[in-house]
This record gives sequence, structure tokens and C-alpha cells, in this order.
Amino acid sequence: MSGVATSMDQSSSDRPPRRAPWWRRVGIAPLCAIVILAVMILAAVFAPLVAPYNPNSPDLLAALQGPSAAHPLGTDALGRDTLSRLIYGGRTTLLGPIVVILLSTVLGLLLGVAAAWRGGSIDTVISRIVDVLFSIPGIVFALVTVAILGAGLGSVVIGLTIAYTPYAARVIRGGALRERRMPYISAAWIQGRSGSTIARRHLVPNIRPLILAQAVAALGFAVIDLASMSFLGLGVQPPTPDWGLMVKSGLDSAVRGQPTEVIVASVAIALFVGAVTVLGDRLSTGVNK
Amino acid sequence: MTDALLQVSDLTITVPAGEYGADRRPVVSGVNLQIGAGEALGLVGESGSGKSMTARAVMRLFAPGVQATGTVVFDGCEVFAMEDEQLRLLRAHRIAMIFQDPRAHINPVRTVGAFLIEGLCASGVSTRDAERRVTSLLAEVGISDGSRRMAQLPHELSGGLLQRVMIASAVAMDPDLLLADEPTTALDVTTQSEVMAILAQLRTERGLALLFITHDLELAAATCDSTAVMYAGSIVERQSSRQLLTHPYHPYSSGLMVSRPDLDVVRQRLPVIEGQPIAAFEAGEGCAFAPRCGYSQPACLATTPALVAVQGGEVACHRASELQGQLPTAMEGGGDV
Amino acid sequence: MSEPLLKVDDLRKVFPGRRGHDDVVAVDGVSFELAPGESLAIVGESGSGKTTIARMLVGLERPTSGSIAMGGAILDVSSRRAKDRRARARRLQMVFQDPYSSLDRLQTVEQILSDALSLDPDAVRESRAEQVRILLTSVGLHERHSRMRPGGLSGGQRQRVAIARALAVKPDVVVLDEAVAALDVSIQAQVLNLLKEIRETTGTAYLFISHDLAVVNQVSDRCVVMRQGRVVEQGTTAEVLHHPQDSYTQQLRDAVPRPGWSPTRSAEAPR
Repeated sequence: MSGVATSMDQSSSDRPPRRAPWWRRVGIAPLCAIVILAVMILAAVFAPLVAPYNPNSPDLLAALQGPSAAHPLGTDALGRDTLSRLIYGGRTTLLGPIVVILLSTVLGLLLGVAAAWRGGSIDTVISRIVDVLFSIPGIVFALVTVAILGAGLGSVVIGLTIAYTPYAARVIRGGALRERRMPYISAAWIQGRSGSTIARRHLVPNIRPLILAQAVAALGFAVIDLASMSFLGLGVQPPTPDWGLMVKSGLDSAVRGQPTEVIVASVAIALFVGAVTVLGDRLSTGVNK
Repeated sequence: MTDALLQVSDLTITVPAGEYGADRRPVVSGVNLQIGAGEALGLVGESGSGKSMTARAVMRLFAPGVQATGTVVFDGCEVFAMEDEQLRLLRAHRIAMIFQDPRAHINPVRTVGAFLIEGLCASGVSTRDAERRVTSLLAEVGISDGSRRMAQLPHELSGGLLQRVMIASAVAMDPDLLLADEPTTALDVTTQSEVMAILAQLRTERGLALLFITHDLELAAATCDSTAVMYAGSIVERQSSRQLLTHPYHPYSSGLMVSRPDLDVVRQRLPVIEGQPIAAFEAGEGCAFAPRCGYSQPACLATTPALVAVQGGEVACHRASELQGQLPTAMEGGGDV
Repeated sequence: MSEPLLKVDDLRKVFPGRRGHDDVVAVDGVSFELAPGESLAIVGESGSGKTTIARMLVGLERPTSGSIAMGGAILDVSSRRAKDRRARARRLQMVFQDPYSSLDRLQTVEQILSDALSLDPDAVRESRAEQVRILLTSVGLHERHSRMRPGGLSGGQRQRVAIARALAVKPDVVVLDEAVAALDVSIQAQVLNLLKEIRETTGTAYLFISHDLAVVNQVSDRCVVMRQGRVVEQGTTAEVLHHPQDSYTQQLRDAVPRPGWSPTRSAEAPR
């Protein structure tokens, strides 16, 4: 991050230190995480181009196969190609959580900044609501929305967005409260800038690293929550390929002696969550520096 | 020479240039200083001068990645060569340190009393004896209601009181040397005066030697036997405080004195040192101060001046002998009045 | 004496005590006047209420009671509306102590100064870039600094930017809250000279909040000495510093290190 305030005087004539190569500055683990995430997301986006088979075309003669030249990751109980289902499944598995995080971060940002900036009774009301929502597990919200709106990706996304918003709001409120006390904010206030201008031009840009770090950290959880809902049969509906559904159907296959599908799907989820966590960790170290 | 309590020789400290990579940049380069038993040395410098790093080196207190060369000999023992246990004993019993921000160096959830008796109890004193000793220590640093204060938490005490507590804690183990890193910078002037008076009293009563780090030349000169001035990681001048105030050898010392506003004289323009202070690694060829020096000549930029002995002290300036007696001092008001 | 530019009358500020604690009277009936172009110092130690006065003047705190008048008209410092704040800002500006946190580290110097310049709606004589250049020159900085962010500037340079920001709309009064306290000794002298020069050329009045009597002596015509929220003494700086009437002023003076000085312990128990 550029221009972090330090207690030492940094003169303008300061010759910048010779920079280490960029891959050393990022770190090996975060770099691996970026590669894994990029491969997964690109494969999901360009699924029709990379997937060797139609993910939904059954071939009962080739059901429950292990890895082979024709099917590198084997087939499921209906003989559908696991690799293709994995690639297509990334679409729903990853899109859902990304939408949840985008929505909850925007809502959390509005609530958190409003609470921190306005203070007083507005802060009290927002903080109390956030505290109450916070005490309810996210999956409960998803179950309630499914009960009201019916099973499906859309209802689960709505439910989890409600569940994740308080988390984002609380983190952002804390960061905004700290930032708000900085004299440069007072200076802008004295200059007669409106509250929304100060929030937009000064406060939010300065806590952007924090917002990003919390969003990435929450993304990992959202993937697991959404996959769990699909696994329970409440999220993505068959035959749409989805990693959570693949774990479920793969379990049946495993019982029938072919564990490849469940292993592949579980590893994919674990890899994605692990990569996101590593990246979130790296981003938040940057925040604290 | 050998009987000095503390002898720092050719101390050079480097820090990593970036987060990664092998490049290192010096922050202290070739510092020599000595302090006799019971003596007080003021170490004066602006930001980046390396004065705090020098003080920390005496106790081998380094952040990860910091490397130091040279020798620090305390009472005949080489600090950089010590085993961990020896070093622990040195820090616990012989050398103590106080800091600018006492709040950052005290556990905020434990009482002041618990903090104070901790060291004594660790060395085998019973809790009751420790409490009695601490109460009398607090009285020595001007806290008469010691038993009440000991029950309080750090946040209930003002900065000045907390600094007194730190001083009491520092002298509790009866050390030989106290390192004081800007201990009064965050305090009010009247509190500063009291804290300095307490330090002076402790020194005379206990024969405590003092290394006093500050950015305030007047304060160092008024409270220490001798004063060393640091610039860009090196000592540029050292002499007795009294003589430094009247006869500075180095243009930087003189500049620091005259650029400070005066309590009695109003100047149309304060005589300034142009430019800004630099760190050791930012210094170019020749004298590090030359680019800001009003007396610099082309020769100053060619070679780095060594710290050489002069009458009553040491100075690192190519033109020291020519300029002797000509540099303005605070007492003369620095020219244009 | 000419009509005062700024007139502070019986200003009080009481902070409600936190659970179980008494209310804190930070400023207790303070009155003073500031003439056009004058430099008035408010001197005191921590807890004297000097910074609270500064914050009330610029609207960062609401006075509990008392009034602040500018040019004969009562200044509404309690209003938090952007329009009222802008109106105040055109006349009254502030420079903060810490040059590191008083500038937005993500903005360039040019953006910081443009923002300040935009307060003055009828200043369209020169282009914005030209105005920024003139401002930078007036505080001893160079045009090339306009593209830099605070992270690339030294402490002294940042404080010059903060001063330029305060001067952008040519205010009548600049409140300087310990504006040189965080600077290195050699940089402090440069900034003090700059402040003096600016006042001589623009006639801006200063309200100089400081704990440092030597600095106060150098920059102010008159001074107000405060202790625990009250004024203990006020008068011309020369009178107050050289012939203090109040024992506290004398005590403050005696505490300033100078050649031949030795520290003293007061008889009072430390608080």
C-alpha cells in the first residue's frame, strides 16, 4: 500500500529501496492461491470451451467409472463426465457466493458507514439490529428464505445475503469509526464538505483495503454455506451441475464403490476455500501494515 | 579508557532495505561513545539520526532483521557476545530503560503495583518486602500516596505520573545505567521539569549513569554532564554540555541552538538550517551535513570527516579549526535581533 | 483599539462524565478578542482547554454556553449544516498538529488544494492549476509537489501543504493547533518563519495554540495563559512572558529548558 503514515520522517529525496521481484513481494502461498482461483474462475466462465463433454448428457453404459483417458476424473452414477460437471458446476458454486458477498458488502458498507458517521441514535439502532442478526447462524436465514420462497439458488442467495450483511457492517463500522477520528476527516468537515461527500471521497477509499479483506474472508464461508444448502437439496437443484450437489450424489456413488466424484468435488471446494482464505489473510496483513 | 562503565565502539546498525531481498541500509554508522560510572551523557538528534537505535543497541534490543556490528562493552563485558542468560541478567539488574510513551510499555490490565513488584519478586524478594520497597521508591519519584496508586490501573494515571512509575520500576533493581529515550517529550513542560529533577536526584543519590536521548539540545545540555550531537547516523560533536552551549564546534550543533525560538528575544527571522534531516542511508559522498551547512566548501563533499579530538571534546567537521569560536550560539541570540 | 475581528465571550464547554464520573469542565468562562491581522497565542498545558477552544471555534465541538462573534456578528458555530460550515470555513481555517494524519494519504497535493480552493465560488480568475501553483509557491513548495501524495513528502512539507490548504480561501483567521509541535527543530524554525512571512504579506490573523512559550514568544503579539479551563493571565506577549503576574505563568516560564537552567520539583503533589 502506498503512503502509509509512518512515524519516521520520509523525505522526498528518499531513494526507493530496490524492489524485490513482484512474486517475492506477493509471497509464494498467496501466489498459488491466485493461480488456483484464476484457473477455477476462468474454467467456469469458459466452461463450454474447456469441458470435454456435455455435463448433463448421461451415458449409462459408462456409469460409475474411475479415472480413465476418456474420463480423467471418472463418471457419476448416470455416466456423466465428472470433469465436465466440475467445470460447469463452478458456475453456480462460485457465482452464488460472489453475488452474496457483493450484495452483503454493499449493504454492510452503507449500514456500517452510516452508523459510524452519524453516530448517536442511528448508530445505536443499526448496531443493535446488527447484533441481533449476528447471533443467528447464517444457515438459519437461508432455511427461512427457502421455506418462504421455495428451494433454489435465488432464495439461498437472498437468505445468505441477509446473514452476511451484519458481519460486513460490523467490520466496516469499526474501521470507519477509527478512520473518522483522523484529523484529515475533521479537516474536510471544517471545509464544509457534506457528510456523504466525506464518506465517498475520503472515508470509504481509505478503508477500502479493510472492505476488500473482509469480503474475501467472507467469500470462503459463503462457498461452504451455499454448497451445504445444495447438499441438503435446498439450493441448486439437479440436474444443474454444482459442487455441493456433486458431494451429495458422489456420496451415493461412493457407497456403491466409486468414490472419485465425492473426492473430486470435496477437494475442489476445499481448494477454493483454502485459496480464498490465504488471499484474505494476505490482504488483511496489508491492511494492518 | 578501560574504566568507562559503557564503551560503545564503531557501532554500525543496518536494517533491511525492503521487505524482501538482501539489501541493507545503515541507520547508525560508526558510533563511538562512552559513559563513566555515575555520568550523564545527552544524545541529541532529529528524526532519523539513529539516536534511539544507538540506545537500544546498548541493551541489544533489536527488532527482527536489524543487524549491528561493532562492540558494546558494559562493565568489562561484551554485550553483543553475551549468552541469553547473561543478557537477561544484564537487562534485569544492570541496565534499565524508560521510553517516550510509558503507556505502550506497561500491561494495561494489571495494576501499577503488580507491575512494580514483578521484577523484585522474580529475584526472590517476598511480596511484602517488595511492596514496602516499591512504596518508598514511589515516594522517591514524588508519589507520596504510593499505596493508593499501586492499586490503580495504568489508564487511571496521567502521563506524567505513569512516567514516574516507569522510573521507579527502572531503578527498582538498582541498575548502574539508565537509558532514557525521550522520556519527557510527551509531557508538559512543568512535568518535564519535575521528571528531569527526579532523574537528577536519583543520579546523585544512587550513582546512576544516564544515557539521555532527546531532540532538545537545550534540555540535554542543561541536565547532562556532556552532550553528543548525532546527524544522519553519526556523532558529529561531543563535548561537555557547558562548553557546547558556549563554544559549539560543529555548524549543525550551532544551527540547532540558534534555530530554536528564544524565551526572551524575538527575531525577525529565525536563523534556519535549510533542507531537512536525513537518515544515514540517505547521505551522499562527503560530510552528511554539507548539503544543509552554511559553511560548506567543495572539499566538504569530497571526504567524510572523521570524529577527531579537539580541546574538551570531539568533532567531525573539516572546517572545525577554522570555524572555532565563530559559530553563533543560543546565548548570543544568533545574530540578527 | 480597532473593532475586534473575533470576539469570544464567556465560552464554556462541559463534557458529560462517563458512567459514574463527574462532568468535565474543559473550558470554563473564557473570553478574549482577536484584532484583524493580530497573532494571539493561547498557552497552556494538557488539560488547560486550549485545544477544546480551537475545536469550538471551527465547529468541531459545540460550546455549552457563551458566544463567538466574527466581525461584530455572532457566528453560529453549532450548526452542522454543510452550507453553514462552508460559510465559516471561508473566514476561519485550521491547521492541525500532526502533519501525517491531517492530510488524506490517498489524495495528491493538487487534489487537496483544489478541494480547498473550491470553497470560494467566485475565484475563477486563474485556472485551478495556476491557483494551486501560486499556493504552493506561497508556502515554499514547488509545482512538482502538486502531483505527489502525502506519503512522498517529509513532515515539514506536509505541514506546508496543510498551511496552504488553510490559506486557499484567504480566511481572516487561521487557528494553528500546536502546528509546529510535531516538527523537527530545524524544520520548526522554517515553518515559524513561513508563518510570520505569510502574516506579514496577507494580514491573516492567527490564533496560535501552543504549550511552548519560546515558540509563542516568537510568533504572537498577545497571549492568553490558560490552566484547567480558565484564563489565568492575558496581555501582550512581552509583558506576560517577561513580567508574569500569575505564579502559574512564572512556573511555566521556569520550566523551559535554556542555557543555565536546572530542573526543579514543585511542592505540589503530582496529579
